[in-house]
Amino acid sequence: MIPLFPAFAEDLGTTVSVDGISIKELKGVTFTIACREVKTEDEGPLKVDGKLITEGSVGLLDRVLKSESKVEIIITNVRSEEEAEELKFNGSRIESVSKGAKKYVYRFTAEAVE
Amino acid sequence: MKKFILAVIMISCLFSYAFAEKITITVFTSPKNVYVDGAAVKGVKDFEYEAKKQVEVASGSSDDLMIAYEGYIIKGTITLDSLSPVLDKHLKEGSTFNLDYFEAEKEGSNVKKTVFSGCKIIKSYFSYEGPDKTVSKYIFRAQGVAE
Repeated sequence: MIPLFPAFAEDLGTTVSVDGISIKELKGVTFTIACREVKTEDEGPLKVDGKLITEGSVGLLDRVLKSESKVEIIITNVRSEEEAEELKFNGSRIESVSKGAKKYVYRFTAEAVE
Repeated sequence: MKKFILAVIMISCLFSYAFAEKITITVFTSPKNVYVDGAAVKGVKDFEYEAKKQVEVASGSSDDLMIAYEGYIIKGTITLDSLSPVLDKHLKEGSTFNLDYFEAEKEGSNVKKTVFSGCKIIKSYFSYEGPDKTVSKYIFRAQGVAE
């Protein structure tokens, strides 16, 4: 849990940053994390995948997709003025992008969640 | 007289201390409440679980040592209006926890308590489409359940 100053918590909801750069045109986020029931030590999740939904195309995400490089995606969910939860997706790759009605859907996978 | 008053004050202090240690007041903020290892989980929107009888097969290092036995598969889903730090921690660490579920049949009625032991988060799902359209789901498996 991250303690927040009220001044920073004007926008309740969810924010996404990729390698420290905030995605401003964000419309929505979904992700699933599946784990093996019997986990060995230091074993990461079985599967992590998700979607970043934006209003327009995002240059940064397009570059990550083209270069096939790994990035760190941080999803911050602000519950109230005092509470927020942050999930860090390490070793993330943008796998594809699709265009819909007034939205772009970037699909991603990750190696680990911190 | 002074000694008597002093004794009464001391006894009342001891009693209030003893009761203060024992009494726990639980405030239910919604009809469905979930506690993980005694701590309340915030923003619970829904809770459901099922226990299915199933034949499980346990095997050793060799195929000759396979044992079939009847057991219960206990699986549940906690639906929240946000991510939960405590459930995310268990998801990341793969740690085991105990879960208490309280549900009132209707407002003002008795609260039914269900206790799950040996729980593990096996899957989580999160969806954000705006501050009012945020849903997270945590799917867990438990080793035991008691009502």
